Amino acid sequence: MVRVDLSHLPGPLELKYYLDMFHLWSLAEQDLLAENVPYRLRDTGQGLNRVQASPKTSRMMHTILNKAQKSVGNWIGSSVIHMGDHNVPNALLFIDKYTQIYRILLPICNTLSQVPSLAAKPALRSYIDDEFGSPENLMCEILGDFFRHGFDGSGADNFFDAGSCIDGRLTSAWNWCATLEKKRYFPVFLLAGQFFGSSPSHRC
Amino acid sequence: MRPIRTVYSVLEEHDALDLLRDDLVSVATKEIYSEGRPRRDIQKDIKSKERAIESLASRYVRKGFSQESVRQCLYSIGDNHAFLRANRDPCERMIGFLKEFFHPTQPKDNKSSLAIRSGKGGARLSHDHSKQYAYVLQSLTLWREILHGAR
Repeated sequence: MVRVDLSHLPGPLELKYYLDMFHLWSLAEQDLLAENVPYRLRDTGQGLNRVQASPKTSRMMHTILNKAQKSVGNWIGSSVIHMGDHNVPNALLFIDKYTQIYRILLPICNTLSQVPSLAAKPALRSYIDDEFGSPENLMCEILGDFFRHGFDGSGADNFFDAGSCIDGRLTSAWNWCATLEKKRYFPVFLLAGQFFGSSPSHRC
Repeated sequence: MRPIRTVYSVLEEHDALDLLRDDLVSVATKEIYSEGRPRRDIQKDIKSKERAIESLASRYVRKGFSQESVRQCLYSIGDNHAFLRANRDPCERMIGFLKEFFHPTQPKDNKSSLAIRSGKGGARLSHDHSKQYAYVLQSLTLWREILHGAR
């Protein structure tokens, strides 16, 4: 029955969150069910998809992006938000991308936070020292690789779609997750018991 | 299509908005962390959370608004805390790692340089270290904003 939306909450300060994600969910639902916004079933190159403009979700995303851009000063890369096109066909696929962020970041965070306890075991410590130099170096290597190649414009089908657009940034991060098994530090993720689920099929 | 029923609209409908201003709400909806904590402390937290939920349930119960409904509102707020911990917190931790392990402009050595070049290692973009640092920081910041803006 109850879904949380406390966006207009006049409560104690710590409760006075503006819950963008829930707001976005609700807007995405309105966009998908809008009777005056027609859709077409089209092969987008990623299967048959409902291609539908999503004005409400789009507007909200631009507001959030604007706010983020103002707060950092000099914005790097493209600020295109794909929506209702062959990259991100509709609001549901859009919202799904952002619901998945934790599936990328959480396993990395969990692995990194376990490095000290792994290194406390002498046998694992000598593996870490032999292979990476030190626990510190190991963490630096994982982070450096993710910050380089989780954000390098990779993951799109063709050169035209690749790059720095707002939703494309997530595609590169997913692409990085898919290559984890080939990395030198993959055993550390296994030792920490962390895996990435399969990536969503749609891309941008 | 029916509009979404929110905690706020349910409480408003039953004239129970004061619940949200009640000091006990924090205790009744907080997440209980178990990592690296002794069992007894966790047990104590669980007990005080349950007590807070029960006293709020009896304080705000009214005609047409059962104790169970009050509890459900509180659980719903609690779910949101759990959502934020799983979704927003990793963004913040990654931002913290970026700042802790890497310098915004001056990499110590090759290993701590974040520079990428199109065509190398699958990259489709070319950024020097400081540009990539800013690009990553901005992307993670945007994700955090989307998951939970205006703090």
